[in-house]
Amino acid sequence: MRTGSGLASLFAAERIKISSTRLWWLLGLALVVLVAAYSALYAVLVIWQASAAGIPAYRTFSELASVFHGGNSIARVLALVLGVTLMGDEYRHRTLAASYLAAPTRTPLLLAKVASASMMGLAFGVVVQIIGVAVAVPFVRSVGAELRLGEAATWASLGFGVLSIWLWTLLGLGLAFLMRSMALPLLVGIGFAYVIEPVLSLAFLAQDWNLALNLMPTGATNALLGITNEALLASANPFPAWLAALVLAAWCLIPGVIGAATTVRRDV
Amino acid sequence: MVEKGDEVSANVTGEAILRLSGLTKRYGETTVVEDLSAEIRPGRITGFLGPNGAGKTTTCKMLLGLLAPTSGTAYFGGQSYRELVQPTRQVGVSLGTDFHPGRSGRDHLRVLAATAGVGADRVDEVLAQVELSEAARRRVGQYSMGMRQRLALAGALLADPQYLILDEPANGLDPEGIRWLRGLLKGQAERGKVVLMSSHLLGEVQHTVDDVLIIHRGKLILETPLSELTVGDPPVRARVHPSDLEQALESLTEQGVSFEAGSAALRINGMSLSEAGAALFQADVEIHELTTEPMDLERAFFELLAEADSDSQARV
Repeated sequence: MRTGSGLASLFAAERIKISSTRLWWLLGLALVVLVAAYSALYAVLVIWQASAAGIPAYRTFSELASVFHGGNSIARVLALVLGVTLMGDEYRHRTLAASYLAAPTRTPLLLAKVASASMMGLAFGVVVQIIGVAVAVPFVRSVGAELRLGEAATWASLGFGVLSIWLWTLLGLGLAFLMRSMALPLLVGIGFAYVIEPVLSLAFLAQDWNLALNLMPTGATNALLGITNEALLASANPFPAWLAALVLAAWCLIPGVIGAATTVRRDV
Repeated sequence: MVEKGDEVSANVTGEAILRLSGLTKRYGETTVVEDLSAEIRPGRITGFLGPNGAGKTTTCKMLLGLLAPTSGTAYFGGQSYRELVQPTRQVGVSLGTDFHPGRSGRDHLRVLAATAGVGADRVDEVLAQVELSEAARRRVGQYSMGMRQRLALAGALLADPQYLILDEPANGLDPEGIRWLRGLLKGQAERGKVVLMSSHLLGEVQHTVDDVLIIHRGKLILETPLSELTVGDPPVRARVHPSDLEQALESLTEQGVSFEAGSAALRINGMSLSEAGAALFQADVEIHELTTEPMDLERAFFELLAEADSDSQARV
């Protein structure tokens, strides 16, 4: 017999939790401003590099993609923060016990949080790509190039961008399932992606360990987005997008599943 | 909302009982709750009393499935909390006053309403019931302790559940708030609900509860209707003519009566009203007042705790 509250009602409760606090629009506002700024920066950079090389800008797809995904690196930090907060808020304000009362077996609450994090993560991803394209428009037009919105490859790239933001949201949530804290999963997540991973990647790059590079979360994200610039510590032989997506999904699942089986079972 | 008639019939069949059997919680060597068994009946307010750290909150959390008991069970009717379908519809809980400070009181209840399967109109109804309608749209971070306590209570009442588990619901309420809480809980009990409220302040519940469970150092030391909770005779207050006071004191001392003397009145301990009257008659003084003082639950409580402590020391 089914016990506890239904998944649909738990998901509804999670949506009210999100909409009734300022978190979503504060993070959303930061997302819009920062992604617009980063995308514009990359858009200028493309023109600057092309003119330095004496060739017309925005004639290759990768130049376009670098603007579309210019905001991805900052957007995934915000996505991670979002994912951590959806669970971390419950630790921080000690509301977890009240939440477990509606879902005494606990797993349904986690599923509802995965659903609400997915909803938010996908929405953030769509916003990132809309801004990326919108920022690209004036720059691409100014040099008389094409946006290539009629090409399937463009839409695939934009779709992978959305996918990457969604997965980074779930990564944050998974880390927060594992660590019963607001600060710790943020510190571990951001610290790993921005301090530890670059150091490791430099070492892997020096050794030509492409597999190790491909298995890193940022490495997998770069592969997913088709970013293959060695200056960005990317693998010389990246995974195909589908495999990179699976690697990133594994990074979400490992802490999430371990957390669901251990931390979440504990007394509150 | 459940009709009154349905609840009464549920009582008659005896299904709506909260039954704790051998609940035990140990953390390593430390035993926080030990072999606690009790039946909490519908239609009465049961006070779960004990000093801070006695194991009240641990017990409440165990019966709600938030803490896994080391051993023992707790059943709502025939099911443990984890086996209940839509538990927040059947069991109303107030466990402290932790809320997200950025969420309004009303939104907090809307979150609960989503899983308890009640509508927004019911949210506004309970907000009115706990007298928070005006503050409903303010963020909880701006609420006073008393307001938070009322909000927690509103959450417990939301689905009009058969069981109410309230951990220290009077904490932070002023005397007027405590009177208000009393009226509210009595109304719930009259409608056949199972009401369990914990408290470490006995004065708070003295005029509220029907039954008492007293827990001390994790052990249940007393389970009784409040009316039967007496520890010896209540003290007798006597006032005599001021010029007779000295004579009264002398005579009572001669008679070997235990008393305390104030400037205008006496408190005679360990005697019934008639015995005290006889002693003062013997002293041949003019009596202006002779009454029993209300039985102070606080006093009874501390006597019980002292007894429990000396028992455990005797065993060691």
